[in-house]
Amino acid sequence: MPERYYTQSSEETENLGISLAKQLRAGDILLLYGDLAAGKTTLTRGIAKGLGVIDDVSSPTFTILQQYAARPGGLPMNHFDAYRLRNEDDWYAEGFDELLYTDAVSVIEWPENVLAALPEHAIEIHLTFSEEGSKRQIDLKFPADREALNCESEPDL
Amino acid sequence: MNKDNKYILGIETSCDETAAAVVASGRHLTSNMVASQIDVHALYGGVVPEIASREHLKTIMPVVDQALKRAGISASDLSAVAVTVGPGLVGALLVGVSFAKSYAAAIRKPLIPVHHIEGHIASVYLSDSEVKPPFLCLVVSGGHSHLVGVEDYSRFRIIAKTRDDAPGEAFDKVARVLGLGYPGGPLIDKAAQGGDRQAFNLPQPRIENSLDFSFSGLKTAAIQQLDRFKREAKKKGIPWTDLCPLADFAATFQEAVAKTLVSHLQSAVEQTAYETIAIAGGVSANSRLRKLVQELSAEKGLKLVVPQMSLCTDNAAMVASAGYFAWKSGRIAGADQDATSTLDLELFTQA
Repeated sequence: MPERYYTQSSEETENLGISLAKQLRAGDILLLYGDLAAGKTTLTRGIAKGLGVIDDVSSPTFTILQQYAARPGGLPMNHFDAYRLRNEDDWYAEGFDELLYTDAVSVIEWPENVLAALPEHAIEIHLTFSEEGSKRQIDLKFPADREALNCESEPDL
Repeated sequence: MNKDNKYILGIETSCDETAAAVVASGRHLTSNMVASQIDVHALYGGVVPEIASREHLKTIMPVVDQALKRAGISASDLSAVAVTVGPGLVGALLVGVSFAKSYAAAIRKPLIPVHHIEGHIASVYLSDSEVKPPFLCLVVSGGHSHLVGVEDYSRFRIIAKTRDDAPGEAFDKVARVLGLGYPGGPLIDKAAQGGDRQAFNLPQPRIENSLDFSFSGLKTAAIQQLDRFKREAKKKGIPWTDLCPLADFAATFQEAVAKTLVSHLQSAVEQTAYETIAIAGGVSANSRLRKLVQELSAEKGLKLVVPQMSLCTDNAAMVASAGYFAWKSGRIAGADQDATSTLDLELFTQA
C-alpha cells in the first residue's frame, strides 16, 4: 500500500526528503518517477541533507551521475539521472550497475529508461503535480520487507 | 610547424563529445576535431550515439590521429598532453584520462590535468589574441552555470554558481515539452526569432544576498504556463499555439533565461573592478544572451570577449589552451591521476 503525501512548496518537498532519508540504510535504491519539473531533484536535495551529504545537490541531467560524500555518521549518495540514457545497455556500458552494490544510497531519476537493469527491491517514489500548479502529490512504495515512512501527512520539520 | 611554438594536444571526453585538438602556445588553434565532425561513420560503419563510454573508446584514437594530421605535426612535436579530468560523466572522463595518460607516457611528455570549466574559460584566449586576465567570465552550458573571476591564467575565484539546474538544461527540458528536440538551446533560439519576448509573465528568480543562480523555478513556471495554455486550448478545441504562438513562447522563455544571466553578470560587474567581461560555454552561443551582454558591456564601458560559435560547445581546443597555461604554472599530473565526476574549480586549481 503506497503512502501518499502532498507538498505545497519546494521547501515542503525538500523536508519530506529529509524525513525519508532518516529511514534509509546503506545500499538502498530509490527510483524517482515524475514528469519534468515534478520536483525530483528537489526531493533528492532533501534526501541528501537527511543523509548528511556535504555538498549542495545540483541537477545530474548533464553528467548523468553525481556522487556525493557524507559527513561522518552519514551515508554517501549516488544521484543518477537516466533521462539521457536510451536503455539498460547504456546503463551497463557506463559501469553504473556496480555502484548500486556499495554503501551509498542510490537515487535514480527517470528509472523507466533503464528499468531492466535495476533491482526489484528498490523503493519507488512517484511525483505528480496537480493542475493548480504548486501542489505536489508524492507516493512512496516500500518493498514488502521494509518499514514505511509514516510521517505526519503534512511533513513539518 | 613553427619551432618557437609549444604544441599541446588537448583531449576532452567529459560528456557527449569525443574531441581532440592541437593548440600552439595557448593561443593559436592549429586543429580542432570533434568526433561528430569526422567520418567515424565510414570508419566503423555505424551511427555514433550521443553518449556511452565505449563510443568514446572507439572514437578517441581516430580523433587524436586526425587532430595531429590536421595540425601538420607528429606526436614527437608535442610539448605536453592536456586532458579534462572533471567534472563530467565519470566513465566518459575515464576514457580520455586513461588514453591521455598512456599516450603521454608513450611519447615521454608531461600530462596536464584540466578542469572542464577552466577549459571553457580558455576559449576566450583562442577568440581574442590580446585578452589577458584579470577578467570576469560567465560560463554557461548544459551542465554548468558559473560566474568566475579569472585572476590569472590558472587562478580562479568562483563568484556564483547554480543552486540547481544549469541554463542549458532548462533550455533542453522546455524544448522537450515543446516537442522541439535536443539539444534545446539552439532549437529554442531558432524558434524564438521574431517572437514576442513578453508574451506572458515568467519569474526571474534571485536568491537573496547571493549572486548564485537558480533555474529550476523558471523551468517549472514555463512548463506550468505551457500546461495552462494546453488546458485552455483543449476546452476551446483549438491548438495551444492559437493562444500563444510557439515563437512567442520560445522568445519569452529565452528572454527570461538571458535576462536572469545578464542581471547576475551586471551585479557582479558592479560589485567588482573587472574591466573585461567574457562569456563561454554552450549557452554563450545563444543569440539573445550575446545581444544583452553586448548591451551591458557598451553601457558599462567594458571590453567584451565572446568566443566564436565552434568554441562555445564542448571542444578540445579549449582544453589544449588551458593545459598550456596550467603547464606553464607547473601543474603536471602524476601516474595516479584520476577522473572525478564532481570537481570544484577553485580547489582543483589551488592544489
